[in-house]
Amino acid sequence: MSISYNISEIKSGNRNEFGKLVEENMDYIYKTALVIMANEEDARDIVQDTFLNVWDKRKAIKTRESLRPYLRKIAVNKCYDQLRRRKIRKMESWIEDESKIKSIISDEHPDKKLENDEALSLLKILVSGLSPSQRVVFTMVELDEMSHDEVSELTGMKKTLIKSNLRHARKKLEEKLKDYLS
Amino acid sequence: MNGLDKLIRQLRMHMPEIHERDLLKESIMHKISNKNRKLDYVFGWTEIAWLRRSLSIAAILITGLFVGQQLFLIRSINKLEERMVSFNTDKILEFHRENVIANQVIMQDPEASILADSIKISTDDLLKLMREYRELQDKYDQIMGSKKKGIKNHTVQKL
Repeated sequence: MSISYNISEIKSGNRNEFGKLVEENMDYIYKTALVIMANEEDARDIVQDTFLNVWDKRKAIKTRESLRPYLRKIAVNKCYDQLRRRKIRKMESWIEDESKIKSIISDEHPDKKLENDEALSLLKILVSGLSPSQRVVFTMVELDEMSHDEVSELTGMKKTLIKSNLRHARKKLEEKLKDYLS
Repeated sequence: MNGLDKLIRQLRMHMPEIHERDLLKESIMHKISNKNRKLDYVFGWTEIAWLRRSLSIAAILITGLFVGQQLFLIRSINKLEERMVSFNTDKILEFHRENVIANQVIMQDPEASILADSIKISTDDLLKLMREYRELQDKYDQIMGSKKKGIKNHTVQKL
């Protein structure tokens, strides 16, 4: 969805123009936040915080092209901060949805369209139990299909660290899902 | 492709959609409006150029006044200190002199207090006595001085 908005108007504090910016980028930022947080409420909070942050720093916006990576960087950093703050929180209990998981994972209809709650459950299964950095790297590389260079630029992590986080994340997931995936 | 990759592919194809999209947008815009209003109320005055300029000038003047006042105070304190030193020195010297004289009087005859027709006197009383003696001496000197002057004048008139 492409909506035209005037960056200089946004810089001077025009809220209507900023509304157009929000409209254009909201879904994109929501998806970024959702895959990392695996929780709708958290993702909504991240989206709000991200746009409020951009509004506060609107004078630093350069071009429309540079805006998306900028928004994404803010959102990812916010997700990462929040995950680190909750480091001690217990692993989300995904086992409760065991029957749902079985139906999703079953090979009967591999390309069937997932409902929203099914997709969310699957996301939770995949990311719960991963450390914050493993979670960020795994979701960006595997779900957002970003290159290692892009992830490195966005998170400031070294490529070797990205690779090791990804390897560990996959190993953990394969271990966790071995009973269902066999 | 293993089972995990199949799951990832499935999820990639069917990412969860955003719920109540308009509500979220509305909430973002509402928060921005509130934030703006708060900022206007607190910092809105900074947008008024003449007020900003005059407040800057006032700040500079107040700072200058403060520095000037501090310099004046420091100078005044220094002057006061000088005065205190000279005053105290005189006092100390006077006190010391009186003590020396009193001690001399006591030392002249240390056994005087035990004589039958003698009187016992405290140091304070002795100092008082000495002070009064000195005042009398001064008055005597003044009188004698004026007398001499009078004789001189009388002689001059006779001549």
